[in-house]
Amino acid sequence: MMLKTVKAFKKIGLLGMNARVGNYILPFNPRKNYPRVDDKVLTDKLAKDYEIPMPQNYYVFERFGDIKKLSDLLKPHFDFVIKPSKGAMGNGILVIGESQNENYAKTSGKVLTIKDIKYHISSILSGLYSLDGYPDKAIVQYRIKLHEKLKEISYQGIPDIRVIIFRGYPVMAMTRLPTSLSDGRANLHQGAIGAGINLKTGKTVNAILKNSNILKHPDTNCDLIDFEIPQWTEILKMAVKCYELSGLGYVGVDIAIDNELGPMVIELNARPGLSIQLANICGLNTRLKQINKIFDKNHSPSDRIQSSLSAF
Amino acid sequence: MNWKNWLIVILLILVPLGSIFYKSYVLDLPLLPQVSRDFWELELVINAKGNEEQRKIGFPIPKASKYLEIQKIKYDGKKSVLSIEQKSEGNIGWWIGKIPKKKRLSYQFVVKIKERKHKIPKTLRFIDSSKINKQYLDSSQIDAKTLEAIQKVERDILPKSQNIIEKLKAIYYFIYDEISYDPKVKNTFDSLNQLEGNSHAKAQIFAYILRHNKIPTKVVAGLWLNKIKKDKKRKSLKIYYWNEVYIKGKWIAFCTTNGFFASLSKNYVPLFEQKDSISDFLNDKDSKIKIFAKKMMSREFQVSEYQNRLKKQNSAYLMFSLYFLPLRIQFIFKVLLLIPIGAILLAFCRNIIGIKTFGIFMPILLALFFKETNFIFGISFFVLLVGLGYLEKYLLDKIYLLAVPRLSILLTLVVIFITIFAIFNDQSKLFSNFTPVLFPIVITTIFIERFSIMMMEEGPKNTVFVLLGTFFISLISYWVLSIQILQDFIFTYPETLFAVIGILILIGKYNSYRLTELFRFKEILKPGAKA
Repeated sequence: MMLKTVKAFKKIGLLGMNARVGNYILPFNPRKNYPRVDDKVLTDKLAKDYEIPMPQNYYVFERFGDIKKLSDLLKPHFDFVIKPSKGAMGNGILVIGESQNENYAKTSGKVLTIKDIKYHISSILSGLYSLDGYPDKAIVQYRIKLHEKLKEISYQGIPDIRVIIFRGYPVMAMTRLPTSLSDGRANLHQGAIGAGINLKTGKTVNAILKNSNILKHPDTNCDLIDFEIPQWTEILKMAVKCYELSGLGYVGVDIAIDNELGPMVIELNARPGLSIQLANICGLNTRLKQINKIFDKNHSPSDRIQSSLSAF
Repeated sequence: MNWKNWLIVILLILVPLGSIFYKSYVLDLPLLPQVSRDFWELELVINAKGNEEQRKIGFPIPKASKYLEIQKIKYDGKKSVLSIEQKSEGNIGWWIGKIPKKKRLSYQFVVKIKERKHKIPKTLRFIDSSKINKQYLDSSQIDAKTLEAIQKVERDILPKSQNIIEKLKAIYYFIYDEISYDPKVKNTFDSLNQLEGNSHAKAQIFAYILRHNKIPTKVVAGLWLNKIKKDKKRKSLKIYYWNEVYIKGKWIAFCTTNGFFASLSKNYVPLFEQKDSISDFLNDKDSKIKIFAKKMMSREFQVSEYQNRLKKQNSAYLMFSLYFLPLRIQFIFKVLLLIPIGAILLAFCRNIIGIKTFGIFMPILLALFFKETNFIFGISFFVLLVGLGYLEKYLLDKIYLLAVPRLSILLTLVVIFITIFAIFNDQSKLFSNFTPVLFPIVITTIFIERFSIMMMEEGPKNTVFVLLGTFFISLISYWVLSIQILQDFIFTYPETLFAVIGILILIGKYNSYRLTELFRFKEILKPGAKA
């Protein structure tokens, strides 16, 4: 039975964790370029050079001493996000939806005091949420506003779009939709929905919740299939440019769509997850091999999108 | 994998194999120092009674022979000295001095016994008894009614033949077959009458009849260690009796109780001869002597034997052996060399099975800790510690401390807990082999922190899953690392570690699916929304 499963997986070109690391991440992602994606402060700086929109950083905390200034710094902002510069898997991200007189309401409704926020920032600075455990920076950032068209398929949080880019070519995409189970977060591990996106049409093809197929959003009851992602072409263009930005051959680009500012890159991932295959009912390996065939170093970003779209 | 990788892996595995082959075939060393089961730890304890006074208490001491190797003699009799007197009936140890009452005098030693198998001729007409002590032929001490009974037996069983061996066989088989063993029947006459007897009675009858027929015979007293089956268990023993018969200038062993004809298994330790009871030695009628025996899994002796063989080989190659390090350092290496084996298991579980763990090497550290204590204790201790840590962390979160001091408080609390536990444990003697030093304290602290964060961010279900994964791997590693042969093997052939690298390369190059992925991705084989 197990051998049969392995054969079936091979046939559809399913990419496993070992092959992802051994065949793609290690050969195509040079270690020296990891900070470009792991350190969001650096990513933000590079994004400006490559003209890729990212949410504005209001302030970057680098020293504990700066925390004193927090309440002054937060005054002009009604809503904001605090995140670690080197965080992983969405850990350590605090989203404040409203603030009033040094009281800050999380999007989930829980109200925090300035003391809570200072504590959170100092935790981030001491490296509690950082990938490597070393001291980190804390970013206070623009909070992306939920796009009008995405309201019906998300619960509380902001959905994001993950595009896998291999050697500069888009390979596969999905959108991650927060649910009540995921506590408003767009993280599949925590119970967000993953919906695969057809690269050509920008429409969802299938959806999964906790590794199982699902047809309707459990909280909003909205259809999860054939849902059209707004500004899809723009998203693809933005995603492929991240190949140059990151210097990584195999990279996951996370994009969110702001109601006013449009799509913006939230973060890049040097080790993007594999559940995207379930969301698309499609193996990554076949597509990655195809890209190795069509790869041409003279291709411009738009050429790369074109060849990908015609290949898949 | 390309051919270069394969070549490296094959070389890494072949080189140690070749080295092991060279050592065991060319240098002709045993593959491993064998675990010997022939060692026994014996202790003769005299509980002195009477008043404290200048006195002398004696006890039999075993004599080394080609069948009995005696090592590691230790004795303890404060305020008294031990002097050894050699007599025909055996060596006698004398405790001399002001021996207080209720004094425990102990004489401890380790013996290695060889099996005895004698070759005796088929026919024998004369025995030259000129060189031996006449007491071995003396049948005058037999009282009249016993003599009468013996003569009756002789008429019934003795063959007409002049062949001494034939006679010996007839007498042996009569006592072995016809007189059944009964520890309660001690008297020789009763024993002949009822055809039941203890080992002393049987040995005595054997000696009487043989001596009566001019065959020199000894009654040997000592220990029969057969009943101790479980290793490490100490058992109190009674004196046991058997015989030796003088044939062709040699004393040949017989045991009519357990059925050894001109042989003796390796469970017999002779202590003295000719005397009826061990208390005859004591010279102090109130004192009691007790004998304890314990089977030993003596590795140390075998290792020293192995070491000697290594030295005899005199090969420069062998001088690198870990067996020449000081014992204390050897012990450290025994643990150290196991870590890579744990790493193979860990790599296998993570990359081929796909089990998630807290921290990469946590399971190995846990396994080593369990090995130092025991699994059940180790895991409960660890769970308790993490539970307490989680509680502490929960409380500490309320007072908003910076992370490093907070972690340091957690670390301090872990140390305090271990300290209290160690003191409590020392008083209650709950766990005899608790060594806090080997417990990975810092790792535990980090573990608690990671555990708490994961509990908050991914919920208890995912956390428990990872926790169980960690425990599962540490259980397997613990189990494998406890295989004594494996430990001995790696210690004897540390070159095996190259093969470990080879195997790790193989695991590292495995890029097919992990076992857990077969379940994780099984939904992809279903038609999904398209259908």
